[in-house]
Amino acid sequence: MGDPRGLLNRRAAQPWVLAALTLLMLAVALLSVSLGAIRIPPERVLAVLTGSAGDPALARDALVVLNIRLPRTLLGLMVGAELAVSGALMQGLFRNPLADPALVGVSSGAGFAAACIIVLGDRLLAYAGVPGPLPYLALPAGAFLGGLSATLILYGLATRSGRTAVATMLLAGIALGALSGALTGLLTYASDDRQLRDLTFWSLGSLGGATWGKVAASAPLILPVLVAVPFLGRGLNALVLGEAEAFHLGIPVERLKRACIFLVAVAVGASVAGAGVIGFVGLVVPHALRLAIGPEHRLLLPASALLGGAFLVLADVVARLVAAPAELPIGIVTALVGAPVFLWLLLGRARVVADA
Amino acid sequence: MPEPALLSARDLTVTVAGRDLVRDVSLDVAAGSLQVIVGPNGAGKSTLLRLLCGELRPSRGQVAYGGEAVGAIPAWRLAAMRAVLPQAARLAFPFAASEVARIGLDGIGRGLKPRDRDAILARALDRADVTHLATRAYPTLSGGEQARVQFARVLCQMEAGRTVADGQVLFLDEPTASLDLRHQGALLDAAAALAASGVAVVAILHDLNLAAAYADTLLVLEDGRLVASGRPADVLRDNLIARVFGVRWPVGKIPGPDQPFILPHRT
Repeated sequence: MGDPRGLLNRRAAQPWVLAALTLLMLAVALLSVSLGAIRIPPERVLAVLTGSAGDPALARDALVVLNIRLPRTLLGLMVGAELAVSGALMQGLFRNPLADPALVGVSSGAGFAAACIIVLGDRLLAYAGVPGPLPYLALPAGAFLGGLSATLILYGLATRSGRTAVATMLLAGIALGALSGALTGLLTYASDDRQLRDLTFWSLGSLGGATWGKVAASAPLILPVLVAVPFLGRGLNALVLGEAEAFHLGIPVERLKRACIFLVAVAVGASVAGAGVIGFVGLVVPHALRLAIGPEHRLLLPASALLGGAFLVLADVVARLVAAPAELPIGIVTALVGAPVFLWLLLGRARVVADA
Repeated sequence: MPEPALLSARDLTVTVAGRDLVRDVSLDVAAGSLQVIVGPNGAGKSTLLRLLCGELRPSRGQVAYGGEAVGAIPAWRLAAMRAVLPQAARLAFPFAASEVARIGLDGIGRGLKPRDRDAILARALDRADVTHLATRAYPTLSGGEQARVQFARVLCQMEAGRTVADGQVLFLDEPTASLDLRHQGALLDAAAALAASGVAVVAILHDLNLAAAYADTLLVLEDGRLVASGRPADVLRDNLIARVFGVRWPVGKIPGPDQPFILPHRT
């Protein structure tokens, strides 16, 4: 009889992996709340959070923690989780470790919609005779709708009589991404200085605009994604063998694919709405986790959510501190960290992607 | 009196782009029988298998499991009633071999105790002779080793399915294509043992000698039509081999003093 000992250990280790990642995420969150222009030691952060905010000695700290850093950190955790989970979902769906929402044009679609609203929104309002300025929610709502439309267009292009051709979807996605990128570029010619700055910030991503309002607007979108994820693991594991094989194993394949596509659109739309277009999180986090804990989706998906949140918040801390008091766009940090790590992973484990 | 057919197909026809890939095929597979489909390339063997396992809808005709139309059976219930060994499956992710085999247990074996599932997995790995590969990453295995891991996965699915479904069908699509001689024999022995335990087995084979050694019933496909079926000894005749396969290889005769040949032997 066999003793696949290493694997029994791998499965027994699962709760510990999630516990360790949760601790890591909490530690990074605490770091993010205490570091910044004003340094607040962790014990005082905890004092503020545990409700001694009435203490006059802590009043200034409480203001910084509760009004600025906590919403920013929470937004970062949510956006990071959304990006990493949508990356893991797409990779499972496409059976390709290099698939990513940014690759199939979902992120660029969301970004293009955001750019339209930044550059053209005021003018459209003026044409329509509605007194400006644009309502605060127009930008996030536009980004979300852009991501969703990109996904639906993509799905329409790649689906014939109820079956999605993965190769067509990848190629159509690349074309769609290039198109939205070009159109976004075109918009920069029509924008003034202020809009150009907004546009740059939006297209490279930032958690700078985080408020409790944004957190409250993002939370209802990430919740369905996080709730659905545990139910997709088994289906995605089977789908890795191939669509026909997944059907033989009793998976309702078309329904699973539709669920993945919808969840990716929701997660990416919500993340772009909350923090702009941030690359590499969806690519690097699941890939690194696969190398560390294996590709089993029932563990990979929740682990991606935890590590994605931690990774993005850490990147935000770096973005805030490196050029203080100015801030780098967070997308620059994730790309600077993510791209070399990704290359290193590719070179070190070439055979892992050789079959892709 | 013959056993009632576990799987029956009536007048199956599938037309793609004006061409009939499978034309008017009817067959019955009884519990406990091992039927082998043979035929030249492009005869429609794999298409017929995909029709029989419910993956492909026929343009005309019907497939039924125990009298129930396959299209009316939901995927999750069908998965307990039949398993399919694909020709070759590549994986882009570094799942370990035993994790791949375990995927066969995930859905159908949900009601089983963890200890029972571990026992089923261990038996399947052993039966497919991949126990020593259990912790290896699937993409790093050779083609034959990957095929055996897939067989272990299918065995897991069959054994888990047996706990919920009565009559089961096992489909094998060229299961021996990438295997060495020992594992060809071992795999077909395992399939024959399943048949002996009441499973209906339908396999596509290219090797007529293996087919002759293991099949209860041989089904010969040519241009999508079923041109002969019956006991191998009745079906494999010189004129049929010449007509269907286009070779004048005499059946059951020694080719000549200088040409060695190896005959499979059913153990």
